[in-house]
Amino acid sequence: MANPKKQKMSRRKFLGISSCALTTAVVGSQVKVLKALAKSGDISEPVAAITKDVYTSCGMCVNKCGVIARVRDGVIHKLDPNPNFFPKSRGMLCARGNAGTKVVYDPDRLKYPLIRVGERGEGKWRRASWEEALDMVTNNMNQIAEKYNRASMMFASTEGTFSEHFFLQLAECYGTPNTLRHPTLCLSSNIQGFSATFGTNPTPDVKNADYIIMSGANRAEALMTPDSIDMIKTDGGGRRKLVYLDPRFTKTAAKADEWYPIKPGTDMAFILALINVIITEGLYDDDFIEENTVGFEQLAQHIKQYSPGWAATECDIPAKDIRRIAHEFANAAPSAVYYQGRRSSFFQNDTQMRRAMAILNAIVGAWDTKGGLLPNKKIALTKHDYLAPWYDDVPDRLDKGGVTYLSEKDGSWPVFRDRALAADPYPIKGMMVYKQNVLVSVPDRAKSLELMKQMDFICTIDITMSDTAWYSDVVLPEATYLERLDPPENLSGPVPVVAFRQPCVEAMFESKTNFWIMQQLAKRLGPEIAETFDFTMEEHIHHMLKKKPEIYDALFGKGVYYEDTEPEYGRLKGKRLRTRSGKIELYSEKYAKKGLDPLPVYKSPDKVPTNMYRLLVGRHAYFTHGTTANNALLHDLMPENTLWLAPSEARKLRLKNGQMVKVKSKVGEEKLKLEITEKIRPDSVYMAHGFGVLSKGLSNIAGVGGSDAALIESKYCPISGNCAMHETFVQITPA
Amino acid sequence: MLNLAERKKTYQIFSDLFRYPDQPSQAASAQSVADLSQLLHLDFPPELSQVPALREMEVAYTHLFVNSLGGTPAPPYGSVYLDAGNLLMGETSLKVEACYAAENLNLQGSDEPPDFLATELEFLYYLLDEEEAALAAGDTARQAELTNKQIVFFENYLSSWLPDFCERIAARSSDPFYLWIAEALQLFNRMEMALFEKVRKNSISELPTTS
Ligand code: SF4
Repeated sequence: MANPKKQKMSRRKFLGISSCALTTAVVGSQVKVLKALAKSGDISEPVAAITKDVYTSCGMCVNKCGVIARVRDGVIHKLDPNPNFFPKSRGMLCARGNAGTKVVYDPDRLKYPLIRVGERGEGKWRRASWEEALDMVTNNMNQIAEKYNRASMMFASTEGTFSEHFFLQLAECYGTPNTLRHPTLCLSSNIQGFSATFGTNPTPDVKNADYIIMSGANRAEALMTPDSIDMIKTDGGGRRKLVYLDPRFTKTAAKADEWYPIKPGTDMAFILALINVIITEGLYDDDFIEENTVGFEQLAQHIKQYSPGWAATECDIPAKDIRRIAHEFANAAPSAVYYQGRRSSFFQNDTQMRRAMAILNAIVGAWDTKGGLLPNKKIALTKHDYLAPWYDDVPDRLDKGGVTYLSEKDGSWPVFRDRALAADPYPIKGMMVYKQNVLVSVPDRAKSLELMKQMDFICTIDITMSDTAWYSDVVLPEATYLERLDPPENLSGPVPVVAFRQPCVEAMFESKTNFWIMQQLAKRLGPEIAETFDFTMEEHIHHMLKKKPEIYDALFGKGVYYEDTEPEYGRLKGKRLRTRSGKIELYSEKYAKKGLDPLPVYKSPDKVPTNMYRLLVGRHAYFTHGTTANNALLHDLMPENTLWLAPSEARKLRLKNGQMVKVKSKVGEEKLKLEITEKIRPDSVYMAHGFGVLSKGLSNIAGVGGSDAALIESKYCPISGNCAMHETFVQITPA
Repeated sequence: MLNLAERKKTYQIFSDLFRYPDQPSQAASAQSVADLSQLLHLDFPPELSQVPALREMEVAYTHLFVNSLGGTPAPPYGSVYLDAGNLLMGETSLKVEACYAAENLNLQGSDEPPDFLATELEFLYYLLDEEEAALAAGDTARQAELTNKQIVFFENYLSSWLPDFCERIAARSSDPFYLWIAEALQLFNRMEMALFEKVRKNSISELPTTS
């Protein structure tokens, strides 16, 4: 398999002669024809065109599956799964993973640095040299630092790139605390709720669990990774069972043993009722609770109010089913999990809802045991240390104190944006974006546009012309994940592995790696910052692996490094957890001290107003976040999104299947096609995320669906800062 | 019917015009438009009596051929039209590259894929230039060989996608400059097709060298 040092050769230097795969290497003098073509001087011996298999990692979603790129005649011909040990990919690639070549060979990929010449968003661009574009970026960054403050620059980025840390490093070294990462658009309430209970956000051992309950975690669609199959695999009525709660009949619902169309926002009531049954009927694991938890007494008291009868009216799930499920769950335990889901940006009570899940798992002893929740492990890599320059007058993060637990690096998008719009307590005037499609992924697009309008300068680094790139001043083309040498990435989990990326082909056009871009910007920002980036990627990799040099050979030799192939159950037995008490906190003293509910307290979701519907959003199997919507191979599978509405409601509104409808919320209005379907509750409507590209006139381009970000109000969980994406009501009228 | 020198010049002009504009090419474009108009007997609209400023050309070119929201209207790459999947670096891109290599030409001066329109036009310019040299040297065998290469390359890798490409420009652009260039390219494509058809039918033994 390819080693970047040995095989870094230019496709252009080794021209493939169609089928015979012999090429002519060019040496000696060159005589130009006009511009592109040059007459070669001497001709050396023919050499074989680049045909090789390259180990790397998928970059189409966060799962980072192992890939073998089949390079034929210098072109990536096909992507195959890496059959070597990869617990998350298991020798498989999903539809998106297979479509990865399209990212490289997309005629619409960003090719050259672009500089805006018309009004922002007007769509007038010109090409620029890297030199000019980079100078423009750093001149603007310096001006903003001088005119306002270094903190007036914000850096927004996304996960899964293996290079995001270089972007964050530049932000830190430039001197701004204002980095905005993706967790508050995704799973920060999950992390918060489970960490408050277990001291970590564990991984459910779904492969071995006999009983799995899921709340709206549509793993057969929203994040269909190869290991999702474990979650939806049942044994046809045998011991193994999947119970699935979702207001929609999703693909996961279709695979489940039982599906309940739960009233949106009431999952916590269902969970609390399960806990109620398990405690009142003595079905919990006494010894486990005694040894490993704190606060059971308080929990037992607290839970009394949440009977199955009460929950039934809240959730629209019969009390007898709740009771039976509680029994079945407790019987299967500890090989039973209430799966916490991935995206947890549903309701404002999300952190407490995830806490309820964590507590339920804990009282049946489904922790650190086969089929339960497993604490994650990591393979230690050496970190890249650097000394960020010190600036005296840089204030705290803009969103500091806006929510109870704010992650210093992630921030909270909705809180941050509101304060930035009010310049409270200081203005935000510059925006660096790395592959985050702010206008598509952050709820309430009108506010995001407002935010972008107030910027003195916006630079976006991406691989395609996203809506956000379109609203920028400078757009820099990044090399795609199949063209980059990326640092090793520690994929933590019950069975951790180290993965990496190496270039399968040379980066096309003038696209560059994020690392190169950061180095160039750092150089321009001054020697002190440049010094923190003064290494090559190869040096960086060797530094990271210096304690375990064998990882290097494993990565280049088989694409992955691992130490165990099975989880180590009972690994933390008798050890102190990373909670205040060192135990599993059923009752959270920490929350009590912060004035938060120490035990999850249920509050009914707001009632759906008459003539309105609750807007539900979700992802589907072909797209991940906003970033894959441009991919034509995937786009053919799902060219536009539709609005799901129940037949009874469609009749009331006199709407027909397939007609265009107007969807109006407090913050926006979108037009898209109506899909009348029994697959959704009558009180809700649904649309898939990631559609509805803006045009010059700020309206969506026809035939590409509607944007959920334009409709969702910017509500959020006050504990974690996570967006609450299912708390928007909409009206539907014919378009 | 255009003669060899005229065809060569036409390829050169089109190759220049379909490359990203710069100061020299903008400065030359007034002449290019005038020359094309004369060569192809195609009037240009009055607003083109003054070619656009460089900035305007850059904006229009970037929109049409480089990047645009929702996709560039007319990607200038053969494989997008000729191979399945709407992709760069398809099978035909490699074959085009092999054609260059067979002439001992490399792509050192370009960051574009081999089947970038301007480069394909440059290649045909090269073949015509070589043919001119063969003619001057009285090497008829070489001349015939080069004629044949033009036909093969033109018909296999260029001619068939130009109509679609030019129509996309016409459908999605309001820029008079590139609209006219696209119209001119369509016309030239038809002229070349007709010419090669005649060669094939042996109605003329070789391509016209003088008009
Ligand atoms: S799940 Fe699919 S898209 Fe995600 S990393 Fe794996 S193959 Fe790629």
